[in-house]
This record gives sequence, C-alpha cells and structure tokens, in this order.
Amino acid sequence: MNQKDFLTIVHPFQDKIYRLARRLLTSEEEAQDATQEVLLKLWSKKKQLKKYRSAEAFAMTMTKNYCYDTLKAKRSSNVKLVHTNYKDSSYDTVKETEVSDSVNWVYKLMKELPEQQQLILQLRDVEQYTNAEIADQLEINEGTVRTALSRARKTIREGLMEKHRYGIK
Amino acid sequence: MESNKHIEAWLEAYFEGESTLEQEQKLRAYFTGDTVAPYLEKYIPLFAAFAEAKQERYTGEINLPVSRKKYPWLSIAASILVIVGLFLFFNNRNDNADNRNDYGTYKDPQVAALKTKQALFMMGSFIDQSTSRLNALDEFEKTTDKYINKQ
Repeated sequence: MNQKDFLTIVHPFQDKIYRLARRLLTSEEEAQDATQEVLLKLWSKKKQLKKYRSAEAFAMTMTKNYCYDTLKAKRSSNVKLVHTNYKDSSYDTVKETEVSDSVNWVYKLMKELPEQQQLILQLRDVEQYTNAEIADQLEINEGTVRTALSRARKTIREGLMEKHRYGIK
Repeated sequence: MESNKHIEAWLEAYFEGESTLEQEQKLRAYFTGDTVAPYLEKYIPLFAAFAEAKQERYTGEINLPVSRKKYPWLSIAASILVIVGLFLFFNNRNDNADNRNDYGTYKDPQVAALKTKQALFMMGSFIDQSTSRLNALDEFEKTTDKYINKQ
C-alpha cells in the first residue's frame, strides 16, 4: 500500500476523526494534532488494516484512545476547572434570540458531559453511526451506548430548558 | 398538525435513546427547516448544533513518513558487491606475496655469473678511478711533512 492508496482509504473519515477529537479536546490545534497522530498510527499499522473489521471503525477506536490518553495526561498536570454555574452576565441582561449563541450553548453543555457520553453523542447525533457501530468503535456494549445516549440527550435538554427560561424572563 | 404529532413522538423516543437513525434524520430536517412550531422552537439549537458540528473539516496536512525504498534488495546487492570486491582485492595481494622471491634476476646461473663478473669489474674500475684521484693528496703530505719533521 503506498501513500496515495492510504490517503484514499482515509479520506472519507479523516474529518470524522477530527470532529471527534475536536469534541473531546479543548482546542482546534489539539484536535488537529490528534488527527495527524491518529493517521500516522494508522499508517504505521497499514499492513494490519485489512485484518480489522473496517479501517474506519479502527480509526475511531484509535481516536477515542488517543483523546482519553491526552485528557488523562492533562488531568494529571492540571487542576480541573469545574463550574456548575453558567450564569454568564450576558445571558441575564440580553434576551437571546440568536440561534448561533444557543448553538454555542449546546456545545458548552456537551463539553460538560462525561467523556463517554460526549463521544457517544458525537458519534450518534453528528456522525450518525448506529448504536452497534458505536459499541464496536468504543469497545463497549450496545446497551451501554443506548443508556449513555439517553442520559446525554436528557442532560442537554435540561440545560436547554434552563437557558430557554432565562430567555423568557 | 399531523406532522407535529410525529415529531413529538420521535422527540420522546429520541430522549429515551429509542429513536432510529431514520427518525433522527427527520427530526434534524424538521428542526433545521423553516416550519418549526413555536412551542418546539426550544429544540432548534440542539439540532442546529449537530448539523453545524458536522460541517467541521480537518484542514491540517497529513504528513506521512517517507515510504521505504522502492528497491529493498538494492542495498543487499550493494553490500554483496562490496564484500566480493574486498575479497578479490585481498586475494590479489596474497598472489603478489607468493611472488615475493622473484626479484627480476637472471634465471640461468651462467649468465648470472657473467653479469655479476661484469658488474664487479665495473665497480673495480670505478674504484681505480677514484683511488687515482687520491694521489693528489700526496702533495699535501709532502708540504706538511716538511714542517712536522722539523719539530
């Protein structure tokens, strides 16, 4: 397999790798690095690539692992900033009508979810994988995927409702 | 508002994690469309966020390490060539060592003796020549002897 073949295989899902990393990691740069790193690892394992269920699922699993490792390394060196109060002053004073602001709010809510739920929500609602595919990629069982999905969606809904009430006030 | 009934049911299923991908697709289409019922508007950002998140693209470059040499046997062939070369080179030198007794001299003893004689004669004549020149030194002795003997 030469570089060109490899890039052809990787092309359909390189954005998915990036988006998954983007969801979990904090900055665009980190997500870019993660993508490059995952692709590099995939390249070094290109001989085994055909043995795996699918290159895409394999890549997503690697991305998950890479992000977990990165987050773990960070957590051990940084103190985690926990905030439970989202009362940004602008939300109280300005009535929110812009959808884009609300969209950012959703991203913010997603970021606050446990890592696994973030991953599952990203894979299901953004990338539209089936639960079975997600279970395969994250190396968990389907029941867990469904439960986590429901929890994640409900958490986001609650956050949205709260925001909505602020809007009405 | 028949369709809203569907939407509500799908939403319900959605939050329970029971909806199918197809239903979710329809929900996304509905909420990103223009005809959202006012009481459902609060869900717009959720689906808008997902739709927007999908637009993100990886813009970085993919740097792969340069693939290995096209001809992996080339280096092996080269090293064999070097080894063979060195072997032949040293072998050649060993051949020369066998000829070390060959000084390029005459093989026939008679000719050798004759040539040796010739060479010796030549040397003898050179010595004669040089000793005849030494006779000039006698002149010095004659003059110096005069004073030395006087003492």
